[in-house]
Amino acid sequence: MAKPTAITNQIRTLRFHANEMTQADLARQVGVTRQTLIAIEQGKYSPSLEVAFKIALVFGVPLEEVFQYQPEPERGKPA
Amino acid sequence: MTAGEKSAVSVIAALVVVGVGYIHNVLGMAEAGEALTMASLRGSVIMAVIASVVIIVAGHIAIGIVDFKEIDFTDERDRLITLKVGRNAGAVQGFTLALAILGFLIEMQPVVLFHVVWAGLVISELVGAGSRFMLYRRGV
Repeated sequence: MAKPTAITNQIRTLRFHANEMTQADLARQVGVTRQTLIAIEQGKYSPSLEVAFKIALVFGVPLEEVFQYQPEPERGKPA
Repeated sequence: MTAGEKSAVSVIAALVVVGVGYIHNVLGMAEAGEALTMASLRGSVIMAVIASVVIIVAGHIAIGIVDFKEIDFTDERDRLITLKVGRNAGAVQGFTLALAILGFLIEMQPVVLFHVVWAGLVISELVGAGSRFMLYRRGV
């Protein structure tokens, strides 16, 4: 299994609150394939800044409401 | 299964089927006592190349018909995967090319050298298709 990225997202929740927008609709508005949007939503792919901003723009929210970065604690250092 | 995954599977299937057929054919010639020279293998090699091209093209036409919407459009993730696939396949090609150069230096028979280079191309395609499948399935 691929190592999950340290970036999480709220796309599923934001789609639900946007009249249950489909993945296909969001993908079309952002300009990526539905498979890529699914990969982003599942945390299997970290999109470019441009795509990240486009997703935030579609929902009308700041970028940090869509994506969150959770760095792993460094080895040997207390969390 | 996405179009990218289907494409990778079709390439792997075509190369494995043709490769097994070619090896079976060459082993048959060896068992029959035929000398394995470039002249005697030329027909088998040409047939294997044509068969693999035909199977791969037919597979992609079928995928294009089934997934015409998906195959028509690529994005940044597809391009990233293509770059990584090229890197992996290129590494295999480089390694086998180095083997072929080594074979040339130790005066290996031309028919063996040819097969080292050809196997390198086929294995690099297999590695490329395999890594494409894994990257689409598991994530980039």
